[in-house]
Amino acid sequence: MHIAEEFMLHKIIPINIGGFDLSITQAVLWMWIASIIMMLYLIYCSRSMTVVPSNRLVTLFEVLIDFVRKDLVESFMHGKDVERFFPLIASIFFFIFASNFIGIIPGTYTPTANINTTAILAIFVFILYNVLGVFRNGLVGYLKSIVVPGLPAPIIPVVFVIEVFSHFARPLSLAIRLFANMMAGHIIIGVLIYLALLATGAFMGGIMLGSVSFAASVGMYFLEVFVKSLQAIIFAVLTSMYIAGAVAPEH
Amino acid sequence: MMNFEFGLEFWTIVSFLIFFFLFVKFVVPPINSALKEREKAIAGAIEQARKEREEAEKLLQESKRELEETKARSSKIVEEARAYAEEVKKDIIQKAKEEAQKIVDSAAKDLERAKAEVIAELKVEVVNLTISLTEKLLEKELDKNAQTKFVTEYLQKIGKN
Repeated sequence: MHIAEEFMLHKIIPINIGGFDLSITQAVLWMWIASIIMMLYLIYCSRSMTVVPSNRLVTLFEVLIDFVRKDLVESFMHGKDVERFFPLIASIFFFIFASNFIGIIPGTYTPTANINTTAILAIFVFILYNVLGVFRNGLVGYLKSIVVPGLPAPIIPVVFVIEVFSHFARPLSLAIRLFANMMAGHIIIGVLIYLALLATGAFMGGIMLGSVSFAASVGMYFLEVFVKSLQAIIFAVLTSMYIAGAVAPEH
Repeated sequence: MMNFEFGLEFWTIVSFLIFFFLFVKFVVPPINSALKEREKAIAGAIEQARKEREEAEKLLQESKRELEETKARSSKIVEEARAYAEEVKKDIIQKAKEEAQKIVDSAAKDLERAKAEVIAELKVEVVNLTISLTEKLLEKELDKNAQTKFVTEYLQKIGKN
């Protein structure tokens, strides 16, 4: 066994269309499982919302929805934009949340621990907010809004170039932040488990080291739960911020 | 995990877009309608509470008014009873006075009658006395004729009195 093997993609259903390898790997499979479970939960809860909250599962759902609406959307947007973009931000949050969390079940594959998954989502967000910005302000207006107004004329081009770079850094940081966090936790837990397994069988006193590293792995496991939630929130928050900045540059 | 996987990227974006579509189609409308319903229910409950409070207020006012009325009525009744009692008292006193007056009056009448009787008796007595006295005085000097005349005159005089 090898830790790197954890992250290898195995084709389950090989599909090849026009030279493109669109095979269903275990990453895709677990993503689907996670998304389907999440979507079923969301649909069930949204349909069983009662006037007076009674069901705990539904109450948790309401708390999450309320959190996304208030803290992730209303903090950055105003008026009709809240209702307009809430579904998108919520979808991003729940989708990534599901993909992150499927990984806490041993033996699964965390889709978001793969750079490809996070990169395409980040690129999607990048394209989306720029397109929205152009739609809202017109191409010229949007390009103007990139630079902070009120700067002396000579340094405007310089600032513009820097700002453009920072815009391109956004999807990169989005993608790497999520993927690295998901992968790192996994690797650390893996390493600790291997250490525990190796140490217990390897030498005198290894039981001690083994127990310690096993305990640490359990601790990491719980830390992972926190990290997975946090990363889903961060991705959604940044998406919300980027969209808000693009559609309403004055803020 | 770090190499380019077109398949994974393709399926990720497809899955996400489907997820987004399902979310918009099946999750957002029920949330919105549920929230609207909740708002309505809360507004309704507030309205209901307001109405009930007004009702209670009204009832309180009414009961207060009724109490006032009752108090007024009871004091009136007491007043009337007192007036009646006063009247009865006066009546009784009046009657007693009348009774007393009657008694006094009848006593006076009796007295009057007694007085008259006494006077009458006295008259007879005086006549008799006078006769006897006169007889004694005029025993020998008066004859029978003169005697009778004298007595008759005297009696007439007394009768006038």
